[in-house]
Amino acid sequence: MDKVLIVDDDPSVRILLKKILQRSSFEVLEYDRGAGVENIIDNKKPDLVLLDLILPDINGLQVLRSLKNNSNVKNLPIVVLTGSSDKENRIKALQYGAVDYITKPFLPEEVLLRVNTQLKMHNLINSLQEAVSNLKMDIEAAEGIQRALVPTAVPEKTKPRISWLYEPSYKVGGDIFDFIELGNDRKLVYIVDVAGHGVNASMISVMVHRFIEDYINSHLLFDLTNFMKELESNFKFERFELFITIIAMIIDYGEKKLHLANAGIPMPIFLRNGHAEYITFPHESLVGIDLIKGEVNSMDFNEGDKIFLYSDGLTELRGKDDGSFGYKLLKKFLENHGSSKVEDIVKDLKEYLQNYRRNKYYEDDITFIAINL
Amino acid sequence: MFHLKKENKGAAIILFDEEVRLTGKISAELKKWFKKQRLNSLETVIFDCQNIIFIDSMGIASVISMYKAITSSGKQMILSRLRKEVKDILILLNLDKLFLMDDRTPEQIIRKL
Repeated sequence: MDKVLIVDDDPSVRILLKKILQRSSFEVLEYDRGAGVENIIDNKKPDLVLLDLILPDINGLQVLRSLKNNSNVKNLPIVVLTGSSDKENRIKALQYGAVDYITKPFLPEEVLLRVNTQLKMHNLINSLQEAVSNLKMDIEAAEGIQRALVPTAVPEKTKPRISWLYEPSYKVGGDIFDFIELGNDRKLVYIVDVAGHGVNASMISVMVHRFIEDYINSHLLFDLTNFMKELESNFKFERFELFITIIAMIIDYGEKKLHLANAGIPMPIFLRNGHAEYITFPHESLVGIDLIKGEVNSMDFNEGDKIFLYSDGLTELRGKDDGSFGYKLLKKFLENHGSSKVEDIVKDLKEYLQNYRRNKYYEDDITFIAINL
Repeated sequence: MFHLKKENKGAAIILFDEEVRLTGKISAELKKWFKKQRLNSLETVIFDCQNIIFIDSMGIASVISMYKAITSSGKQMILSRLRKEVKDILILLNLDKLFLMDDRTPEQIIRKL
């Protein structure tokens, strides 16, 4: 049963309103002055207030203003009662936050219609706010889980060889990355990008992360071809109606070799003596649609060479000119910063992107990993 | 926004009424709409892509989803009139190995079926 508080010094008005409302099963509370209204509201918790603008002690508009400034009651719907000639105060009341007004003398039907409409709207707004708040909490929880799996600091051993930029989009995204020691002076670095955003994508990215950990623990010798095929068979498109893309690279410091598998992630960039080149092979299709062969590119590297891995959130970032950041601009940027330390390259890129981007928030997750070999 | 136009020879055309960026929300709507379509009597579904001006990963997922649903029941799906920018993205992802792409109009394709 909804509770309505009537604030009016005229007993005849209160009695009339009370009768109208009680006939429609409302619980009715009455009060005859402005002072102390906030306490009544605090104690009795009405669902709506009918407030007369002409009260004996305090102006009704003042009462309205003070209620709207009180954070505990500011969302309570207040309908003001005004005289038919009181147009100016009616407008002021609406400006001060009243949701509606009833002009005296009133018809019972009008009172009921206005009160019911405002209560319905108030309840809808409350439900909506609650739903949005629950959804936000779920998304934040999903985001927290995803972020917890991404490295937060460079491991001591690798310092200063790896640096990265991980810029979350305004929604939970599907990027995840990691670097894992494989033993024998070998390290696995990967970026996974699950199509789309939201809890769905982030949950799948967490599943892929877990899959990779399990795969490493259950395979003494990490073989990239086999790994990609296993990934393909475990993440079929039909399972989630989403696909994943991945770049996985083994850095073998002992043999000075890179072994690279790439399914749908933008081409990495290799930098030697200030000259940048795309690594175009392998470039397989998306994971989960039966097109993965497990192709691997093995290449030599020299100490001091650099390699950059990144997700499409970087190349597809929309700029102020409405164009995309693109491969060419990235390559040029990396050539210009080729002699810098990887930490400085990442720092400069971050600044550059903040000036370049069109929107305040990133539309897609951006993962960029810079490795000094 | 989308509609299905049934033609002769057991073919139908999926059309966009206006230019779209096939991304998040529209992709989800397309998938939802597509699931409601009755395709039982068809042999060929032609997706007229001339109004797709951009496609992202969610858009690609929705097209793959439609492709899987159509081909799993023995029908064929053809992507017709892809714009260069969209076609380049699909080729970059090797999806030309999955999808049949045809630069002709849907009507021209149907005449040759």
